[in-house]
Amino acid sequence: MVFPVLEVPWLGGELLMAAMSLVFAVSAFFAVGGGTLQVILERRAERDGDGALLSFLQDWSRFFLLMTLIVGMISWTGLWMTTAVVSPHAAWAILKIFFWPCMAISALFVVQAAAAFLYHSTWGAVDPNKHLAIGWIFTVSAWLSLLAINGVLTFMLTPGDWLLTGRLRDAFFNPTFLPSAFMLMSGASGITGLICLVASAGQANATLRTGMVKASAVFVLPGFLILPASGFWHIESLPESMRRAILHEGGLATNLLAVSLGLCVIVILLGLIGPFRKPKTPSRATALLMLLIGLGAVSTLEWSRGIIRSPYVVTGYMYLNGIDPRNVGNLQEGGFLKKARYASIKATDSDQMGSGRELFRLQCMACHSIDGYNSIRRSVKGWSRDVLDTQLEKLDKLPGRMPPFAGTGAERRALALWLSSMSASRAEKAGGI
Amino acid sequence: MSQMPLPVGIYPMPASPEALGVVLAILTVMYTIAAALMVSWPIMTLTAEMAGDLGARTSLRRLAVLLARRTPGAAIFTIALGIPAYFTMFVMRGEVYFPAVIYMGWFWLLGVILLFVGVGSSFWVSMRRQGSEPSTLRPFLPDIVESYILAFRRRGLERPGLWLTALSAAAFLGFCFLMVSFGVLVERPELWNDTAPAPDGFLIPFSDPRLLRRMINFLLGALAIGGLTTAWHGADRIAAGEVAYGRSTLKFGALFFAVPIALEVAAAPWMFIAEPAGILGRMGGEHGMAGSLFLWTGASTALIAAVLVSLSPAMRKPRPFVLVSSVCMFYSLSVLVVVRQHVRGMRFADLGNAISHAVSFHPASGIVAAAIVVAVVAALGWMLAVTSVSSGQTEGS
Repeated sequence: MVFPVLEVPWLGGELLMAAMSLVFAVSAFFAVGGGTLQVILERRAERDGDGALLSFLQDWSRFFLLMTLIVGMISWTGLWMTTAVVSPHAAWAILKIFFWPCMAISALFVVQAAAAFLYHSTWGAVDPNKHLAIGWIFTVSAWLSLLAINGVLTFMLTPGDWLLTGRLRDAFFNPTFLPSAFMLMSGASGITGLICLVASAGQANATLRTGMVKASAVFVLPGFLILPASGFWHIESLPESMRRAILHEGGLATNLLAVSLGLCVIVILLGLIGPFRKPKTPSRATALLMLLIGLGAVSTLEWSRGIIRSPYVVTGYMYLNGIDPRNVGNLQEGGFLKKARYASIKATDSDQMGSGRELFRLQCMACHSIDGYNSIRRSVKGWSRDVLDTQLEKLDKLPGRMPPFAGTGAERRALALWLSSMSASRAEKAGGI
Repeated sequence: MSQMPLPVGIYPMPASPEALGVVLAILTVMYTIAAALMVSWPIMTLTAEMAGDLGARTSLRRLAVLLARRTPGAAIFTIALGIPAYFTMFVMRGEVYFPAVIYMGWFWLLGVILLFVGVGSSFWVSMRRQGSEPSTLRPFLPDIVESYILAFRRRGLERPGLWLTALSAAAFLGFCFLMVSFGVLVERPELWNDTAPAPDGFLIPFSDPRLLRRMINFLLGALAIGGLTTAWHGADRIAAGEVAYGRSTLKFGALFFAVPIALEVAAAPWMFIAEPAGILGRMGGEHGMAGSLFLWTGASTALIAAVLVSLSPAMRKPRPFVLVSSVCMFYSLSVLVVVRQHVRGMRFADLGNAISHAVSFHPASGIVAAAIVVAVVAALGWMLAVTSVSSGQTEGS
């Protein structure tokens, strides 16, 4: 542990990052899918001389600009800024390993920003073919950046041969790169189609409305069919232990996967019963409901991915609390507090309660809050110090997918003491952080 | 200042420290220019609108709208260029930057909200406005006729637009203040190293004399860069035949450039003398690159740029003056960035040598990197070339 820890009350660092990731993921999906939809429809409108569609696309490009630049760029910034605060060990490792891909992603974002501005501001001012080419430049750079981000995300789950070779190529093209790329592409297609459906439901022009609903069906149906299929392909590419965890252990990850699958089916059925069957009269309420369900399907699938990665932030390389798995043995022998740079107490002898509190802050707060999300008080409610000590001793063997406790027996007992104070009632609590 | 025990070689570096230093310098120059425009344009928008309103000068109000419409672009490119600059800094000196970030964690996260408010309101102003773009008849009308048309149509910012521009100016200034604070904080390890109390996320080094001075220095620099771009626009319009609007824009830009640069004559030394004595001594000549000669060339070129821009409104063809002053200013800014980086490097060297070994750079990675750079430059160049053909029609819209 070389960095200090900032307490994020109630939300916890993990939930803060998850919220930021979700906003960024949706905007990235929309950038990729929306860009593709935009250029395909513009080409069709120019070919058919469809003025109503071109007018719709001008409005769409304005919405697109706002979504991709304001929401996308700021959530990208927010994601990194949040990671730097709540998970600095992971941020530093990922930045060092993927420095050049991150530079490439940044360069692609510069191109996307320029293309989005120019595409929006040059309707009717440049030759249509050139305008379309600007749209394609945006779309291609959005696809490439999504693939690059996919390389980083999948590395965290399945670093594969990188653990042995340390080569960037092995890190980037890891075992789940391809299935995850399909998952992201199908998610992008589905979410964009649903946003297009919501937009088309409010159109006054019946011909335009029908055309837009049909176009959205082309994105929604394959998207939500391929999403679960690529999800299962993704699971098949996982190491045996992870695959078992998600398919057979029946925990939260399994439930989330089932929910995601169910939501995909509901989106498809709702679409087939409602707007796609009667494209002339799509209901905005149904479209909005489908969008919400679609977002639920994508986010639960992503959530289950996050859970099966636990207790690692990079599987086999770094635990969620920033501890190197190879170093756990040393810490259990030599002591954690002594080696943790930002520990305010270095030995358990003088202040057991304080040491326990410090150990919780440095080893557990990456995932747990005191009273909010993933509350430690709720988790240990009613447990005695001895029970807690036994639990801590075999922490990595418990069903909760937690890292092993990295510290000496005395440190473990100190943590158990502080946790037992948490297990008492609020009024009796001692030594809150 | 206390020493900090630094970890060595936790993770390998992606390239040599020298290569990363060059990447960081290039990115910082680009990011600084974008950030300067993001901060200065809303302030100049408000000034131009108020001056235009008070003096019934439509050209200034037209300029106000133009600047307001361009501000979102500056903000987005600040983000797009700032992130890789910060990536590079964090990769090079994570052991310093990450603890500092965590100690000012809530303010650091407030930066995201300020960006959202600033960018959101600037986009609102930019995309909501309907008019003020030059008349479509402009190519066929002399300036006097266009001025007459403009005088009878409200061309400035609407009242909500004015308030939102003020809001975005405040948000961008707040964001830049946080970044300047962060820059000062990383150089104060005794505030966030392992001897400091546990972080509460609200640490801003208000008592550090460098904070205010660096903020003022940044603000003056930002206004000067904003002024220079406006002078460019004015000179460009004069060359395109829009003499009245071009002249008043050029004068406005020249004023915004020359005054901050003149103030910098006092503000820059004031900022440098706040550095710790050891650093100042080494800047004064011990180290060749950051030595006084290098610093003086930067300061001198900025002054030359100020003189040239001040003269330009009096010239019949002002564009060459503005062009040369832009080159001078670019050089001056680059010098400042390199010196700043060098000073920070010296400061970190005092803390200990934390640069771990670099990963050898594989030739294949070089080819991929070169291909990406070529593709990005080609895409940007082509798009700009295509759209600049129609810039006469689309400028201001």
